[in-house]
Amino acid sequence: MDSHPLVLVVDDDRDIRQSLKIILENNGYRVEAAADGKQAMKLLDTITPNIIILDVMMTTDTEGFDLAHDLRARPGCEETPIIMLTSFLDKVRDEGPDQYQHIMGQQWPAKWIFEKPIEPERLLAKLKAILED
Amino acid sequence: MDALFDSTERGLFDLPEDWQRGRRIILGELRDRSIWFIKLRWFVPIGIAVGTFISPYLGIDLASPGVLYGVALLVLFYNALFYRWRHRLPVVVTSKQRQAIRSFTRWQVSCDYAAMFLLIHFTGGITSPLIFFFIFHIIFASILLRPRSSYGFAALVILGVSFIALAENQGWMTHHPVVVDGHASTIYEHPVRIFIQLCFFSASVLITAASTTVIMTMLRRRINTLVDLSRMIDSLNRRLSGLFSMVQAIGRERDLDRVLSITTAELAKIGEVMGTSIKLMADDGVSLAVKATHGEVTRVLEGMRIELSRSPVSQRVMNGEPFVVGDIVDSKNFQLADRLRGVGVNSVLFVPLTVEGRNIGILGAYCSKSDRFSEDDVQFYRLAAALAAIAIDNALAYEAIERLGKERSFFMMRVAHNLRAPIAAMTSMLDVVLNEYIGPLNNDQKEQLARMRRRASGMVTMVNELLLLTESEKAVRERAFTLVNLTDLIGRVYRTFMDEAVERKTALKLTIDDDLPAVEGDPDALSQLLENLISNALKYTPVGGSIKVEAYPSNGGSVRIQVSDNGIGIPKDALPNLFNEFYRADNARRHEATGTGLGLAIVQRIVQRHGGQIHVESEEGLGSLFAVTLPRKFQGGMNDQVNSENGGNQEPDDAT
Repeated sequence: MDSHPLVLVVDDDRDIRQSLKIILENNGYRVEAAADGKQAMKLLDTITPNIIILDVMMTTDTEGFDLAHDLRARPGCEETPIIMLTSFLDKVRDEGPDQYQHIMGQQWPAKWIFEKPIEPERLLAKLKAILED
Repeated sequence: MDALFDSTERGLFDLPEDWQRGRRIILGELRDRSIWFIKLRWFVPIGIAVGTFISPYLGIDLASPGVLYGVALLVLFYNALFYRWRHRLPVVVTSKQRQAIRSFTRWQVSCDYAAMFLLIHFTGGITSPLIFFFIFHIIFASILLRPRSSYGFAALVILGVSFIALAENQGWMTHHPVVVDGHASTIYEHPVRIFIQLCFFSASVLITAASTTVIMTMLRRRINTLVDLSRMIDSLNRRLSGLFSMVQAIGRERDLDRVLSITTAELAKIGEVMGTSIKLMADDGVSLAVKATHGEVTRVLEGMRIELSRSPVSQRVMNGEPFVVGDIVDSKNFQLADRLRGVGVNSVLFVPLTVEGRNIGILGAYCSKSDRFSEDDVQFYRLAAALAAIAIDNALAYEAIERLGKERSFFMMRVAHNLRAPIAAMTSMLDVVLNEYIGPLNNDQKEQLARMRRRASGMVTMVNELLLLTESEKAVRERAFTLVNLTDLIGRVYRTFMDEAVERKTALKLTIDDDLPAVEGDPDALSQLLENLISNALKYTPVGGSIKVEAYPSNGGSVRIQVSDNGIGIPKDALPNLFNEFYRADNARRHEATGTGLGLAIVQRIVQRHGGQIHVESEEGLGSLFAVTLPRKFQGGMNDQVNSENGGNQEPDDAT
């Protein structure tokens, strides 16, 4: 394992993107950031992240899910762990699994979903746990 | 007529017993009268025998008493046969069985006439006084059989008696004179007297036949009117009863689609028509939308929209006028005629759905028979439409309220999201600064920023709680209830608070009964309920206190979950407001600055949704106890009750 794992952060909120970048970089990660799905896909042509952090609601309400689904089909990204962040956990919990089942098939593509704001300690612990797994 | 007896369905009102019997007598008359005749006939052989026996003592000399006794025996014999046959006659009459009764009667009448002719011949022919007995035989014939049949019997009697007179006069048959005190009638020696006698006898018989026919025809007409009336009352009774059960069914429903489908199905059944439809005024105010249909017409009407400006018929009905078409081919101003005919419709009836003077739509009935709908039907459907309209209007109002609730909840979701996104960004940036990733901080700065961070977290909590409170009732109902293992759930929630309890040096103890049953509920909501109660207890119990979480089966198969502490307690005057949104007791504010005042409101909501009860006991300075009782099975009712007492120990009424 690379001693400086690469994290791709996809969030349309510039402040979140930036603070996550600072937090992660200060804890030994390399960070690439994208503001939406299109940018993320473009970035993925050149980089292979060890982990991807995705916001759910970006340009559309479901962009994060759609992107997660697309990533599962993208060569080289099929196995990359995905953490989803949302400030709308209730909505995702109530409507997510059913509503997006048809997009994602039976497999929920993101393994972890957290409500924003997430404490840096929790996020860092989760990242560490995933990468050590 | 027969259908009346076959109907087993009972109407709304119990018609009197006499009513039923009355109808049976009208229809079963032939049978009853025939049986009555058999009883009457037992007296005939007795009469003949007694008459024959005593006539010598009265100076009357009968030519052949032996034959008369023989006739008496004959009558006795055939009456016995009829008496036995009588048992096989049906009580309930179908047309085939009516035929059997008629032939039974004909046999009796034939036997009686044969016996009469024999008696007359052996008691002096035309001189026999017995010939006048034919008068009542003719009356009976017109009562028993068709009124006009008395003319036939009258002719038969006249012919028979004339033949006997002629034959005896001409010597073809022996004359058996009745000799009284040695004098026999000499009528057979005077043909003119025979003729006069026959003329007057025939006239009596014919007049009797004519008058009974007139009277009986009139009577039968009356009887038929009565039967028709009885049938009408019966069908009205059944219609009313159908309407009653329809109103009962739709009165219970709040869902518009269910109300509409019950109404169309029931009205088709009650009205005995092939199809029904309900069109409701669309939101645009210029068109009608077909909202529900029943029967074959569904194929033509389903999902249709009718522009009022293009449908003069609909306009008329929406103005309150019923509309009836006896034959849709003839009707020029009826747009769907061809397509409706295609599914077999011939007559159509439309009535407005009226509530409090407003016409909210149109009720339609369709029948395959032409000219099916009478003035009575119009009345009936108007009444039915008025009843259905009330339920439809209520369901519409309920739908509007639901929609409003949904809109509100959607709006709140948006607001919450838009509030939470900047707070999330803010806390994230605060985390960056607080962790000194972008430069060192002095202690005061750190302290201030940490406080900001806490306040921001508080805002997130408040937004979350607001969201929970604004969820629409329907959204909550739609969330499926499952069987929740409370032992697991309580254990899980309990463990999340263990660290915090240790931090606050508070003893947090959990006791769960081994036999705790599972309950029907929303696991997320129940976790939330427990979280709120335990976090409240932790928040308002000073360092070093103790908190007990207990769960055990309660009476009536319910489960009681109890969180008690020895914390600051709740002041007496705060108890009534405890479950109000944003309410916080004074001592709670003094003890803990942050707090939304939404936690207990949410707890109460969740308890209500589960059909449970919440009970509070508290004394300021000594501690509080919150007990939630949840039924094992959700009953659907909202029999929520909140009991708050100060230091009392009274249990809420047991929820069974």
